[in-house]
Formats: sequence, structure tokens, C-alpha cells
Amino acid sequence: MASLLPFVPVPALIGFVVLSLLPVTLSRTVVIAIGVGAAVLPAILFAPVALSCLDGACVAGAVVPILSIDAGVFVAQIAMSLDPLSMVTGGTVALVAALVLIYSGAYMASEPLPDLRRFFAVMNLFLAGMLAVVFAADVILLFLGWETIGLCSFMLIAFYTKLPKAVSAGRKALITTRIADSMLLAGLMMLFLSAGTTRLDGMLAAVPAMDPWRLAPIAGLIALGALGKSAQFPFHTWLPSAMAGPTPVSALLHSATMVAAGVILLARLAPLFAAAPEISAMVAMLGILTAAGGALIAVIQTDIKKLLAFSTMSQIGFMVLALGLGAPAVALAHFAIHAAFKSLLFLSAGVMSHASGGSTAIEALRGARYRQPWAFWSFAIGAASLAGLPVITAGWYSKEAVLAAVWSSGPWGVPLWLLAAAAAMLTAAYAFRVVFVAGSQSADLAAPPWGGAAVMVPLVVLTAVAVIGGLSVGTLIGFAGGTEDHLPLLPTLLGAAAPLLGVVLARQLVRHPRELERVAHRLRHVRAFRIEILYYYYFVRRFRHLATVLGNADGTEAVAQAAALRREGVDVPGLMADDPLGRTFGKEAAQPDFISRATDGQTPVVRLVAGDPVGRVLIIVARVFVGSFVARFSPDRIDRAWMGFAGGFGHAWAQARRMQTGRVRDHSLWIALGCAALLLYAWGTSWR
Amino acid sequence: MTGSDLIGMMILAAGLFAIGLFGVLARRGILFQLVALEVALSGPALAFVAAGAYHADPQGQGMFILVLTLAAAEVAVGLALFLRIRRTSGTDDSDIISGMKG
Repeated sequence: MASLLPFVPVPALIGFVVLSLLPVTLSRTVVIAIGVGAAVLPAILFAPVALSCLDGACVAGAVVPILSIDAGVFVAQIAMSLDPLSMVTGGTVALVAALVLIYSGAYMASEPLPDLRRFFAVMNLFLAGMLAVVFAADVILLFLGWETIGLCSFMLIAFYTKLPKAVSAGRKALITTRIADSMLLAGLMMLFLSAGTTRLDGMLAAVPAMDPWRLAPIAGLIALGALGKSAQFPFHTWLPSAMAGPTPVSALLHSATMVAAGVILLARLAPLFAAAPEISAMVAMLGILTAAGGALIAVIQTDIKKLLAFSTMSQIGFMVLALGLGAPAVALAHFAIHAAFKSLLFLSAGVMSHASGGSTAIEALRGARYRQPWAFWSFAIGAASLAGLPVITAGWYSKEAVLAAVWSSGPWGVPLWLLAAAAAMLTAAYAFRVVFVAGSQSADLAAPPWGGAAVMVPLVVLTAVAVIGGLSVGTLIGFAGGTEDHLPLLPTLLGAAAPLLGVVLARQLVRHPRELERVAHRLRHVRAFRIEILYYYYFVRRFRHLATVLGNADGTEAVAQAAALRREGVDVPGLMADDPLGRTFGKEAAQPDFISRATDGQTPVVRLVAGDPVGRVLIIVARVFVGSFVARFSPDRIDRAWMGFAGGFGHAWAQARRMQTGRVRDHSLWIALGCAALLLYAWGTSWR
Repeated sequence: MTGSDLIGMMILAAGLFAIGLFGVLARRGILFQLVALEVALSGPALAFVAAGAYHADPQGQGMFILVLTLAAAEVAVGLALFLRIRRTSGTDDSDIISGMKG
């Protein structure tokens, strides 16, 4: 049965080719049929493979070679593997993608035909790329799939090409993940050079014999690459803006593809990270940071898609935390359950906002329970699963497994557990905030009915998984080769209380919107995750304050300041146009508005700061510095020589710029001369 | 292939490269520069094949295939750029198009 594996991604690939390359005109129905069919077929093809796997055919892992290139001693193989990991992830990806595509058949049906065709073509390629990543048994196929999903995410986020916001969001996602991808490529190449094979099993087998000094950078680079794709802390910025794409794209991108790829890669290479404990610790730290920070930011979001985006970041953070703590099986179980409830949340939120005038603001969803009861209740169940309401939801079991793995992870376990439990509480708070708003009464209840069977079927299936999927968590973990830790009674109870507390918090937040605003205001500092706000608070604001103090209208303050400075023995520089370094500021001093020679009785300092206070402060500070430190020593000849030397760099820079003539012929001459110099050097050093 | 054959081949390859380089440096028309670039690329390609044959190592031919692919890609991109530049600036003199100088 394993030999069927390479055919699983093929329908999606064919769907992409047919939809994108055929120069024939297709009708709307045919496009939707091909697009949806090509995404459903992989799931059907994968079913018998998965069943044979469950029968125990793949516990040891089977490798299906596709292509092998003999190059003398070295053999490059492209192969797929069927093992518990690819079985769990592949099954999740195929199932979720099939459901999302069925849904988007209805959701996107009103798009113009060329756009519809483009949408389904790229979605199919997206699925094919993700399946390649999941099934890959060698780094070549893995990286091909990895880059394919990166490209597809760019095209899908920027799907509405007429919106500048969407295009720039797509570009941001592409560039951010590309920076991480280059690190991943570097890491994989170093791993290849150390192991001498492109096959993943061979690479992992070679890990124990590797020099730890070599292993750490390899693991670090690969981890950073994976974290970039998964939108973890330093690279998280692309995910919230990626909401510019259509809703089904968000559903697929956030649950089973793209952001999940990093988790899958980390799980696939778990032995490598087990051998590099310091890198694992870094991964775990970034994971918990993203889990807690993402949850905190999600609480104050006002747009439901943004809220869900930060929620994804946070949940992936939980998985990354488990991976960093050496529990890949637990992370995988959370991945599978999360894929179900997160796509459920996105899809039902899409239906609700469709029925609420197309707005994605949470306030606009008020009353959705009466307009779209089906969508509302499936959203509520998804939110319960995300929040991890104890016992009755699937999310509780998988999150419990993560928390247990955190608790029993050594000396740092308990503080980490506390942080993770706090993040779980916040998760419940933001998830139920939306539910409470959408469930409340509103004035206008009339809305056009929307959504037929194609919308309902995915919602129902995903709802079922989000509830009863919990029963499979223990089995999943065991199947993926991990052991489920069980917590002592007290942390279990606390962990169960956290989501309930979160629900209460959400209720309070909704009842008292002004409290929420206050929290949002308080959290402004935390949002400086966005660094510019921190920068503004602690630097720009102070600077402005100083500037206004120095530069207020009548200048008395500035004169007083100058007098105070002079009392302290600092030579105020506005008065030293004749000083030995006067020429340093010669150009500025020549400008009429800089220092006009006290014609109206005002001191130069006042004139200096009157016009543009912010700009002048720099000059004042520089001149105070020059006056108090540099000028004192400058009559010295050595110093002047030294200053001349420093100034020379400026001239050298100005000269060097002239090399850039912008002429092709000059450039090729320089290239040729440089190559010749390199060759001469190589010849000279290798001459025997 | 003997050693003197190899040296002859290398001289021929160096000559081809020098002709190409001279073409790129001396010509101002972008199209001519592209053609000259092709000539220049054939020099190293010949050197790779000759060295591979001399050492009885297939890597030389492998590198030749790489150079060939590179040249094809370069022509494809180069010609497209050439057409675009012609259309936007109305000239094919590479000395005039210097808007990106430092």
C-alpha cells in the first residue's frame, strides 16, 4: 500500500496544471469541479494508505523511492516515506484541505472567472507542495515543497491584486519567510556536507557521530528556518498581515499548511535537536514567548481575522514549546487537533461575517447567532476547543498533553508551566470574547440566507473532529512514538480551571467594553513587540520633551538652560563660531537661519533653537559635546592630524562613489580585473 | 589527449574568453554585448571539457552542462531586459543607461 504514496499529491498537481496552463476556456462549474475534485482526490487516495498504516504497516517506516540519480560514488535519491509522522500530518493536511476546498467552492463562486481559476490553481499547488513537505524522505523533495508553499502563500495572500494592502502583505510574507528559508537552506547544506547523504534517515543516523561544534550551528540554522515559516517570535510579523487574502486561504494557511510546515520539519528532525540541547532550549523559549505574547495580543484585537491570526501564532507556539522540550509526538497531536478546530473557526467566521455585511470587525458580528445559527454554533464549539474547555472538547486533551510535557521537563518545568497555563487562560478569554459578542442580541436580524450543503458539510465534519477528536489524542501520541505524561492532581485541576477562568474573564470583558479598552491601553507597551512603540515611548517622547523645553516660543527657557549649562562649566556652543573647530560646522554656520549674528539682541542659542526644535537639539548636543570634550584638546597638532585622518574617510567615501558610473562596460572591466587578481592570487598561493 | 593538446585547448579557450571580454568592453550596443558574452562563456566551457577529458573525469562535462544552462538562462533574461530597456529608454546604448550610478 505504501507504493501508492507518491500518487497522493498527483491529483492536486494535475489540477494546478489543468487550471493554469491549458489555453482552453472552462466554464465556471468546470473550474470549481476541477479545483475541488483535485483537492478531494488526495484525501481519497490517502485513505487506504492510512488504513494500511494503522494496521501496523508503517510503525518501522517504509521509504518509497521515486527517482534516484547516480553520480559516481554519490547517489541523490528523491523518495517519500510512510511512517507515523507522515501518516498523522499527511492525513490531517489531506482531510483539512479537502474540506476547505469544498467550502471555497461555494465561498469563491461569485468571483470573476479568471480569478476563480487562478484561486483554485494556486490552492491546488499549495496542497501539492504541502503534501510533498509532509511525505518527503529526502531534503531535496522537502525543500522543493517548502519553497512551493512559500511561493503559493505569496500568490494567495496577494490574491486581491488590486488592493495595495494585499499585495504588500503578500510581499511581506514572502520576504520574511525567504530570509528564514535561506537560513534553512544553509543549515540543510551544512547537514548534507556533514552526513554525505540527502536522505533524511541517513542524515539523522549520522547525527550522533557529528562534532557538537558543527551540530549546534546546523541545528540553529534549521530551527530558525522552521520558526520563520511557522511565524514564531522574531519572524512573526508576516502572519497577522497575511489576513488580506480570502478566508479559505487563511483557513488552509493557518491550520494545515504553511505555518504548520515549520512544526512538521522540527518534528521530523527531532533527533537532530535532541543532540543540540542549547538550540532546543532556544526553540522552547521562542515557543513560550510566542504562545504567551500571541495570546496577550489576541485579547485586544478588534478584527476577528486578526484575532484568529494571533491565536494561530500562539497555538503554534505551544507546539514549538513541546518540540523544544523534546516531545515531538505531543506537538503532533496538538497539530492535528489544532488544524481541525482552527480551520473550523476560520470557516465559520467566514460564514458569520458574510451574513454580517461582509465586515470582519468583531462588533459587526453582534447578533450572528440569530442570523446564522449553524455557523455560530460551530464557531462556538471551535472556540471551546481552542480554549480547551475541560473534558468535553478535543482541544483540552491535546493542550493538556502539552502542559504535561512542560511540567515534567526538568528544573524549568514549573515556571514554564505557569506561563503556559496563563497563556491557556488568555486563549479562553479571547476565544469566548467573540462568542459572547456574536451570541448577543442585536437590532437588525434580517440577513440574506447564505451557504448550502457545500458550506455546511465541512463545518459539520470539522465540528465533529473538534469535539470527539480528543479521544484519539492518547492514541495519536502513542502512535507517533511518544509517551503521554500525566500530571499530578493539583496542576491538572489548575490547568482545567484556567480555561474556565478565561471564559469568566471574557464575559467580563464583553460586559464592560470600557474595561477592555483600558486593558488595551495598558497593553500598548506589550504591543511593542512592535518595537517602534517602545522606541517612541522611551526615546522619541523624551527627546521631544527636551526639544520643546529648549525651544519654547520666547526662548527664555533656552537661555536659562544655556546659563545653567555654563554654570556647570560647559561651554555653550552657539557662541563659539570662532573656535578652533568652527570650520567643522562651517557650512551650517554659513546658512542665514543657523546663527545670525545677534542683530536683534537675541543670543545665538535662541535663534538656533527657535525654528525647528527637534532638528536643532541634535546640533546643540553635538556642539555641547564638541565644545566640552573635543575643543579642549584640539590646539594639539596630533589631534588635528587625527581629526584630519578621520575626515579623510569622508573624502575617500566620496571618491569611491565615483567608481559607480552606472556603465556596463566599466562594471565588466572591474569584474574582469577582480577575477584576474583572484586568479593570480590563487595561482600564487597554490604554486609548488 | 596529451599534455600539449591540453595546453593548446587552454590557449584556444583563453582566446575565446578574451575575444568575448573585449567585445563586452568595446561594444556599446547592448545586443552586441550579449552576443559577446556568449562568446566569452564558450571559452570556460571549452576549458572545462578539455580539462575533464585530460583527467578522464566526467565532472568537466557536468560543469559544461551547467555553463550551457547558465548561458541559456542568461540569454532568456538578458533579451527580455534588453527589449524592456529599449522600450523604456528608447536607446540600446549601454553607456547612456546609467540611472543607477552611485
